Amino acid sequence: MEKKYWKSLEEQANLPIINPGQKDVDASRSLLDLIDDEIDSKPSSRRNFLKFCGFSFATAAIATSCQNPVQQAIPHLSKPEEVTPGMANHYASTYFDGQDYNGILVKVRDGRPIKIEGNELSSISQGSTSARVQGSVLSLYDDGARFKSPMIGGKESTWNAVDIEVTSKLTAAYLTGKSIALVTSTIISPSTLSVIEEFKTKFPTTKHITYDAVSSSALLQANNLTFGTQTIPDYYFDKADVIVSFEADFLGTWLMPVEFTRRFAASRRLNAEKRSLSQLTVFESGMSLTGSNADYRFPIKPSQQASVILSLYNEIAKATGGTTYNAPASAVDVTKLAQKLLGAKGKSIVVCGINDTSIQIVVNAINLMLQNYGSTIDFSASLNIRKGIDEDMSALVKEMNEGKTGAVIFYNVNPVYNYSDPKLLQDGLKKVELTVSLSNAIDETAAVCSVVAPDHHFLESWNDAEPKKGLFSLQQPTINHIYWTRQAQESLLKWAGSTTLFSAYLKQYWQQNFAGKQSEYTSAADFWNYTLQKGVFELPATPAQPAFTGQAIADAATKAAAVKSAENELVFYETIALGNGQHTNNPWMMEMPDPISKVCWDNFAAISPADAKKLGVVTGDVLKLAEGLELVAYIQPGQAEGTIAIAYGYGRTKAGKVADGVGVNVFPFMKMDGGNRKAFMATGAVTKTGKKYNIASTQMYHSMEGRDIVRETTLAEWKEKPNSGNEMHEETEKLNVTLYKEILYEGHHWGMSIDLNACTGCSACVIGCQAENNVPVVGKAQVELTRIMHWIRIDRYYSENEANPSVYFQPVMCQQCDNAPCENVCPVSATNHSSEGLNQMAYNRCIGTKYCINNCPYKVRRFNWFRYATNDAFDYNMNSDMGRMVLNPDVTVRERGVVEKCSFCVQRIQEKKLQAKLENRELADGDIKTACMQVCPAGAIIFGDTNNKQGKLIDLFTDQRNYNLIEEIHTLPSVGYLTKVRNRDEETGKA
Amino acid sequence: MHLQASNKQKLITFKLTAPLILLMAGLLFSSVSQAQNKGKEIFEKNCVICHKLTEEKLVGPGLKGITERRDKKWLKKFIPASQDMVKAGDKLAVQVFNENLKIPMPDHKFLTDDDLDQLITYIETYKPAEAKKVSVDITKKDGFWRDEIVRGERLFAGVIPFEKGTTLNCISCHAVVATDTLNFNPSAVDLAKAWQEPNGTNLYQVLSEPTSAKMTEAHKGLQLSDKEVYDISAYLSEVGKKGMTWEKTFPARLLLFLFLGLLMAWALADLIWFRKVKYRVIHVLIIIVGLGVHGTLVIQEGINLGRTKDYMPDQPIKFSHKVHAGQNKIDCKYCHSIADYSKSAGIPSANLCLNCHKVVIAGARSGKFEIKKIQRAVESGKPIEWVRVHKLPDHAFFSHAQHVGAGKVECKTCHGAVETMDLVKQVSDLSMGWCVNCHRQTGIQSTTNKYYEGFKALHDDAKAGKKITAERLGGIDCSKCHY
Repeated sequence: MEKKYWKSLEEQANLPIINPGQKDVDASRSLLDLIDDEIDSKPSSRRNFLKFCGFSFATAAIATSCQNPVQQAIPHLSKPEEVTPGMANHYASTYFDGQDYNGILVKVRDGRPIKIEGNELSSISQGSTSARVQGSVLSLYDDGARFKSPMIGGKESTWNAVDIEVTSKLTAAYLTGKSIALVTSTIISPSTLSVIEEFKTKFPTTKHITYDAVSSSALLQANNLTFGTQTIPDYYFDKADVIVSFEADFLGTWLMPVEFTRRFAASRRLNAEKRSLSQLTVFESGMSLTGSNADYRFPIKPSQQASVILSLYNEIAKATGGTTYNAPASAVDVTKLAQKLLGAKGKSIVVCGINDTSIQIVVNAINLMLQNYGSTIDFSASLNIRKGIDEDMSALVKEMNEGKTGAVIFYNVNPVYNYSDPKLLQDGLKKVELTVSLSNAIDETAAVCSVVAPDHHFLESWNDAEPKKGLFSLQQPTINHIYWTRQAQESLLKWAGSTTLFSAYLKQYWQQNFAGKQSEYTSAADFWNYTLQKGVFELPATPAQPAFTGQAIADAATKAAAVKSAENELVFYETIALGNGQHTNNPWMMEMPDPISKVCWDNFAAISPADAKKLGVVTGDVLKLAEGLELVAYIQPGQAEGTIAIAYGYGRTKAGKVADGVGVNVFPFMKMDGGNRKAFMATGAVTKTGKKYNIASTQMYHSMEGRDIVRETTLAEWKEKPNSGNEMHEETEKLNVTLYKEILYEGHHWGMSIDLNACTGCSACVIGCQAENNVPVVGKAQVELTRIMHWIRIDRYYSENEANPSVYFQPVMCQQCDNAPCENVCPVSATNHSSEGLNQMAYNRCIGTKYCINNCPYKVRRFNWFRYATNDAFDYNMNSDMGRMVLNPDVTVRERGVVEKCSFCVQRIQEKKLQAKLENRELADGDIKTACMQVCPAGAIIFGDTNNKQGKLIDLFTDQRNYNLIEEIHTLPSVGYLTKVRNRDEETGKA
Repeated sequence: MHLQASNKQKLITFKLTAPLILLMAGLLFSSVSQAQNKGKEIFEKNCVICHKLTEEKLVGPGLKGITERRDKKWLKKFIPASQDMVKAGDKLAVQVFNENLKIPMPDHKFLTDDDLDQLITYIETYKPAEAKKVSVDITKKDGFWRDEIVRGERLFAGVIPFEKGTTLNCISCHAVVATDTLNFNPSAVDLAKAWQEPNGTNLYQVLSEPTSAKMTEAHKGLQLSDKEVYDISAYLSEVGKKGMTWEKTFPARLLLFLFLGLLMAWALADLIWFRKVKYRVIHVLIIIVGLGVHGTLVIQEGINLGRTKDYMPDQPIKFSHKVHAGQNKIDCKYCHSIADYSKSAGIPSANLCLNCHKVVIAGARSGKFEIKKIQRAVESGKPIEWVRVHKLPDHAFFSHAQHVGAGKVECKTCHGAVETMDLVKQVSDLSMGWCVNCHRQTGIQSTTNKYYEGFKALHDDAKAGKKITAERLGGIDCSKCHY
């Protein structure tokens, strides 16, 4: 296989890689010479000599006089039944931040929530989570950003004062006939909606406006026009053989990425029984996570999407005898794609993430012709998320400016930051007598509101959720509220004149409304208690397929055909880490390298290599993109020509110490068009400003220097020869001979298998590992110096041409080599091999020579350059008492000057082994889940015991697709990778 | 200033009238008091746990006015054997039983007829004690004069005798210096704290009416004037602020080190310059021995850096493992119940102590004071701050569950014979070498725990009767304890 894989354009062109943070050193002189120079420059004097003497005596005196401090051991006065010191409790709960839903289990140790896992009983999360959910536990301890008490007029106040202020002004607004606006994010909680109804009864002029900054407004309206129901159906990617996506990043950010990833991964798994793959075709302008996992990807401008979709529609209509419409010439020839779709009728999905009602109507028509409704696309368990209609918010802003609104309450929204016209909104807000923010942490909207009635963090709150019709889940507090906050629902109830606590309200609501819908528990109290323990309550779906009304299509087709192209088009997208900017102040999310660009701590203008060449732009040049929009360029292979992609979520001004002033906010450029907010805009010429800016990117770190690291094949080849693309493995296995006595692993021998075909690169494992293993955040400057601390990284490789490359993701952590190069070079034997095949690291023995780092071929070892846990220069979370609450007490916080790396979550291994011993049973396969394995929505990571001959792992290790990284150097890694298999036909480049 | 003056005046009047009152009181009540005391004694021994003499209900009903509500004969039948009456179907007895949540009243068949009479008379005639009139400001807990404190200190230490001339002094029982042996009497600091807390001990009252048998015995013959108590409380307020003082240990090793250093210096000097001692072998011997001892001392001290073998700190409550685990044979895991399944062995919470100490309210050697501390902690909401004896550094992970639950290691293997210790002492040095040695020698539960059945070679060896040590399954791997 002669294919070349590269991580960056510099590597592809064989250019030297320059880290922006690196300082130039005179390379002609050795380090020792430099030290000598340093000494020479400071002449020794009697004064210096005395200083040294004094220092020595002082240290000797201190060292000899140190006493062991007296430690207290303070037991409970009355031990709560469920709390056992030293043991964690898990509470089932719910994560919903207004965008993404996850059924979760919260690990609480000694009263502190420290980790979130997916709830295995929830059919949506099935035990896995996204990166953002993993990070959300840290925001609980965000001492700098969370409100400590209610505020009036920017000053700390009391709840009593707030209640008086709010109720009096609400009553005034109501009595003067002015409207009261309750602006919320999508609410999927039935009980909260019921609370809002009570609020409306008390104040009948209340309007409830659902506002999603990045909405599915067009999809909802299209479904309303074509099916008469303003809901979003569920998409079953696991049942589809052919999947087509137009700008819908369903693996990363679109609707339900965790569930969609699992379903998609299920359709991409290969083994002896399952010998087929789905085929994914993506049309998009920027490189998204979905696009990078595609079998065929077509980079096109956003304005060209309509032509492609219409052509596809016409092709399919022709074949099925439907009406065809006039369409502009398609940017891509879709005849073959249409045939494939027709060949998979009822087993295909066409999804579209463009916020344009006409286009969505045409896509609905395509899916209807393909008979996908009822099979792969299903309205029966419709999604309740992203219910916002963009026009509602514009109408409210207009009304505010006309002076018709008497009060506005913002709940879980931040329109001052992410509305399309923030100035107009702020002008409007000035004309409103009462503005209330229910935000739990500072944000731009709370800053302009007259009253802040801070909500609890979701880990401190009661709530429920109905993410899909008939699927309910409960949320319970896992810690008493840290600050003087009050749950938003309780505030609304209080203002509506009720004195009920929300916890009691919720319980009553559930017992009244849901207890009767089940037969498992006879009493309502039992139903409540057991459901709270399980976290979820799922009813079987009642089949529903609304009838299609086709009138809208003709009109939509005409409108869609009228889209005009511009010279350059800016495309806006959500990133995996930050979404719509709600989580920007979370240092873990901020430092998570973007799966594609591997950039952290900034947003950037992703420009295509061809455009860059044309304009003479290199990565780091600041470009002027439009009026009032300057941003640093980043050359992104695969970016469509004539387009520039920019991420939302940056450019926050009042979000806290991590987020403020980082990047540029592009929400104001996301304007209304045809009733929906458009995620792209036309712009004129793009020019260089002459300014330079450093981007911190990890893409060239820890490079394995172009060995045969990624192995891939196509489905056809694999079917013919199961080891295709991996022929070398057999060769190297033959060479695995040794003169030494083979080491016996009498007990366990741990190993891990990673399926490159299932892995989508979503990076949930990176944050999961960070949360589990107390990995510090190091900040942008240190990332530039290649000092990121993540124990697991996702290597991203490109191949073929830079205009539209194929992309590969490869999670790399310590390979736990049985013949480890790092172990041999440690002068103090701080790293050595355990009897269970682990490459163990004793921090207290490490003296920091870094020899192991140099000798590790996989570059997975990290060095603690600083004492991150106490150094205030790293003002993220570990340097404060509150931020340290998130630390896992079962993992050492590393000291400055020691090397660390992935331990295969040895604390979890020890815990589960002990549990088996205490329960007097053998350890079962799958008992132990490493943090990365547990979070992975795709199920790409399998951990196990290779000595367990009945285990899953041994099957994967003996699979013909299995190979080890750089196996030719006989390191005998314990991590195996399964080759990537793409479902591509012989001729490529044509759909 | 004003307060001080008025106190003095009161004191003078008290001094004059007090003996008169006492004399008269003694004459009047001496005949009645003995009978009353018997009833009181019986009540405090048997009834006080469940009944109060007011209307307030505790476990059982409040007893105020009981003789009006119930017939005395019925009472005399009911007290010794209430359950028999319930079973026999006595209407009133059943009613009382039901009213009190069907908690059976224990039998008191050992009480004689006379005992019962006295008990009932005591309950009938009981009147809550009226507050004693005293001549000093008994509410004062702070802001004493210097001379009051000094006088208090002298009285406390027995430097000046009490007016009523007794041979007792306070300091011989109530220590002000922490030592490594358990003195079951409350320390001066403890007394100060108990007195100073809100609703704390009334020193004036307890000194005249001891609250437990132990205290009565220890304070026998002790009669203090109010002014003396006042001065002692002044001193206690000072002690409470300062806390315990610590006994300084004699620096024997350091002195030996210095002495040998000097001796060697002299030997060297004599060898080179003075030449007073003829036999050079003496110099050489001194230097060799001196260097040897110096070297040994340095190595020993170096190794022991950070280790705390023989650590035996004073604890906030004079809790004796010897009494609990040794004499009363309470199982270790009754109190340290989570050792079987948690990382930590767990220090019992105060409510667990109260399981027994609700009933056991006085200790044989410590009286009521120490046990009362548990109650005080629960009431005040301030947890008991024990001093941790066994501690491992943060980078070493130790799980009790692994050793006690899975490995079936006995507590005493690491903690020594705790049942013989009044104050807990660290008997093992908890060093890494100590851990590793044990892992090398100790066998695992290879035949009894099914966990090991999967490991074929090992299981076969175990069945063949070979000892499988923890080491063989990675018991000395770094990552067993360090991660």
